[in-house]
Amino acid sequence: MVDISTLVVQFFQRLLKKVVINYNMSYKKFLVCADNHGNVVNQEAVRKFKEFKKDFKPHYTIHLGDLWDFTSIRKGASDSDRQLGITADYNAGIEFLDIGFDYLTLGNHDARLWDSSVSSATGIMREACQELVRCAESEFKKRKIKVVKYNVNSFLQMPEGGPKLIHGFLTGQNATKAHFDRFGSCLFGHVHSPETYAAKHIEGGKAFSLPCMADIESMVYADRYPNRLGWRNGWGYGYIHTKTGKWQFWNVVKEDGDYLSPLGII
Amino acid sequence: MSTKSALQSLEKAFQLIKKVEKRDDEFTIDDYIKHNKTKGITISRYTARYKLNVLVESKMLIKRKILLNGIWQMVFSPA
Repeated sequence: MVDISTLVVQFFQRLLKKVVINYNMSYKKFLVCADNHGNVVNQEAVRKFKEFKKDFKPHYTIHLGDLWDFTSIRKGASDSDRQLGITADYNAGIEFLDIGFDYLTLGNHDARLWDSSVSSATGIMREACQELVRCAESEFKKRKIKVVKYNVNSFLQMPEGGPKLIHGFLTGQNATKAHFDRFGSCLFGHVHSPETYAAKHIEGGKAFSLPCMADIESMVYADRYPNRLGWRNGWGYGYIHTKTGKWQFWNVVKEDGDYLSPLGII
Repeated sequence: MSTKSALQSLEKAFQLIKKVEKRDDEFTIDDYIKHNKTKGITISRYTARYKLNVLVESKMLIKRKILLNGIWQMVFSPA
């Protein structure tokens, strides 16, 4: 004969187990990358990223900007800059979107197109840029990507909350802390080097900068930037709790030829 | 208009934008510093800019901004 109190205890134990499992199951996965810079993209990084995405099966895939490089339309572009053209750059950016993204925060390089569409000194350039802006926006719409322009007042966030998603506006030694000071908990690209800042604050908070997806060796304009020594290839991934919005994030970084993450060698 | 034609018109625009050349009678601040140096006078960039701007204000020179080697620079010529 089973004691009734034992049955009650067993019932509550099972219930608690279910609640714990449900709680653990209510985490969503997100995958983040940044800075592929159009046709300057690192093909090996793209291949690894695609493989990772296939295994990880994220609920959200996020691009933190500089989808294109747009050297040829930058302000003060020289003749040799213009000779680079734009077709290969633009098409490579669109091809990169085919990986499948839910969110995109446009970066300073992407903004060159939007800026040229309103402020280019020559009418023919301005009109052509306006047309390309329309094409780009239609590509975003077709892919159902939520996009935000490069502006300090604009950011994206997952429906559960979590970190602010921005391209990044500051560089230098303490870029991650500087971003936290201005934006709070956030994920950003822009600096091409993976860094973490954990806030020394009673309410916690953290900011992460991401490595880039571009071919660092091809970015010859940065050959004399000491900060380039910190540039790495890679991306990041994390989990976000669907109810509380609590989140955790890790960078996958290429070091000595291997893409390393807490999950191991990828 | 398709993406292809938008890209084509942009590429065409790059070809049409002609490089703004520095005319023979024009000189930059660097040219002015070099010219002074050949005469044995060393002046700073700040002084050179100041002196040239005084001449522009007194309408002895005119200036315009052009793109030289990818950098926007001021060029001066006799008025």
